[in-house]
Amino acid sequence: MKVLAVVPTLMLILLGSLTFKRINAPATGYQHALKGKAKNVALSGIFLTLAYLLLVPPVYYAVDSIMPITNATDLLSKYCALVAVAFLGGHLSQAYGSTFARRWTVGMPGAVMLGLTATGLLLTVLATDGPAPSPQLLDYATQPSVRLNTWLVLIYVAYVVAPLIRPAYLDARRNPLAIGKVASGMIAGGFTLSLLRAGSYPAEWYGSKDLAYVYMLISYASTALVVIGLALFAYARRQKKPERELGSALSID
Amino acid sequence: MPVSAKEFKSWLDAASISTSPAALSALTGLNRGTLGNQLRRGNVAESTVVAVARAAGLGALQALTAFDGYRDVLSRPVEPSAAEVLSQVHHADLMAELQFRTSKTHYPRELRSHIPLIEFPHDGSHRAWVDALDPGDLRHRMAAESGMALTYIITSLTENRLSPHLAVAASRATGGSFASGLVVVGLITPAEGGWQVRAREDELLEVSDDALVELISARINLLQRRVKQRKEAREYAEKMTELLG
Repeated sequence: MKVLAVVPTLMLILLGSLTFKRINAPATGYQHALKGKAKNVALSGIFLTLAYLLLVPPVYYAVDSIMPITNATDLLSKYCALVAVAFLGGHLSQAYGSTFARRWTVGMPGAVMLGLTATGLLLTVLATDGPAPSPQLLDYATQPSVRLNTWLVLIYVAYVVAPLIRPAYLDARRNPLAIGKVASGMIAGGFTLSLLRAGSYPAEWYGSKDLAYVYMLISYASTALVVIGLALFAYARRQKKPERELGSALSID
Repeated sequence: MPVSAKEFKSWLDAASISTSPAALSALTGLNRGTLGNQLRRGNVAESTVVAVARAAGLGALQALTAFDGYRDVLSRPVEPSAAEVLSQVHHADLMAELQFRTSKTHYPRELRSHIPLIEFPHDGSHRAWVDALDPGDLRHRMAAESGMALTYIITSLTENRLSPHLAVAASRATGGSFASGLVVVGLITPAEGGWQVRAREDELLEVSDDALVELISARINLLQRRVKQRKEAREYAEKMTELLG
């Protein structure tokens, strides 16, 4: 189980550094990241970084000590993650031009789903018999309420990312930039992993407890793929790849 | 469409060349693993046959006649037609020629006499060659001749990736030189295909004014489409990097 305590820290380093790089890049970095067309991606990165920051044990215990209910920090972390996913889903549906994804994840349907998930998470935390703070509720992982809590998060993520897999995959095939192809391929791969984990959660629920951390690593891998994919797009923008690689349509040099 | 490994081995035996991938690799400089894979899978690339023929001092075209689909490549004169040669001149060189003919004062030929023509294959050169041969329905005839889908042929031309098999199909359908197609797709060198050393330069000097202008006009039409496609591709890439980056 020690692995699970280390992974959020590693994820935090990855997310934090990439988000910091995104919003603190020289020249137009800050302007573009927080005020430009990609501001939702930056906001998503900030919320996701916050979600992982709250899971780091020292931070978790410190925050939980001032919370009205035990393990409310886990709830707060998950709310941050949900908001990050909502921002990302809405933004990607627009970027990839998917009206289907936009119809289901943005506006009233998206808000209702987010509200239901948030309420469900609150109720499951209240229903958990957890007298002491436990990052990621790992000490109470066998309780049905905790399992339901985890599944709710997975279902919400799957709900948002599922309609985006095909548009991301199509972009991975048609993007004229090699780096764009790789980036969208990673995003599509990450979303597919998220969907698979949500779908296979019943097997995880009734399966061996020893394998639980393997399933959680799938979610971390999925997050890392999406985050790195978006970072590659940011790199392509900073390096002005479209202008450099697709400059003059006449040049043969 | 590659040649069969069985035929390849028979040809190697007939030419007293070892069939082992290691020996072939040492002979040609091709990757041993690649050669081994081709032999194991039963499909040997035409470029491998040509590489072995060159290394063994055999004629590349002569070597190809040992394989199905290529047996008749020497049955027609190998020399290219003027239209085929001109099809491999880049549109920028065609336009340079137009300028030289327009004004010796403003565009003196001597200014770039030491600069060679743009090498082929270049963007669109496969398509330009097919267009030079085309009596009107060549793509359909290539499809019938080769058994390939029409869309595959069109995509191959758009991407400038015509295979030797399709090049032979085009030549067969039009009655032209088989060797020229193989030169155009880069399987054999212009010298191996019977092209004169300065074939393109000479044809460019000899082409009539009206033929030159017609050729440029046709190429400009293609270029216009390509520029539009590239512009759209660039705008798409810019939009994606701007929105996600």
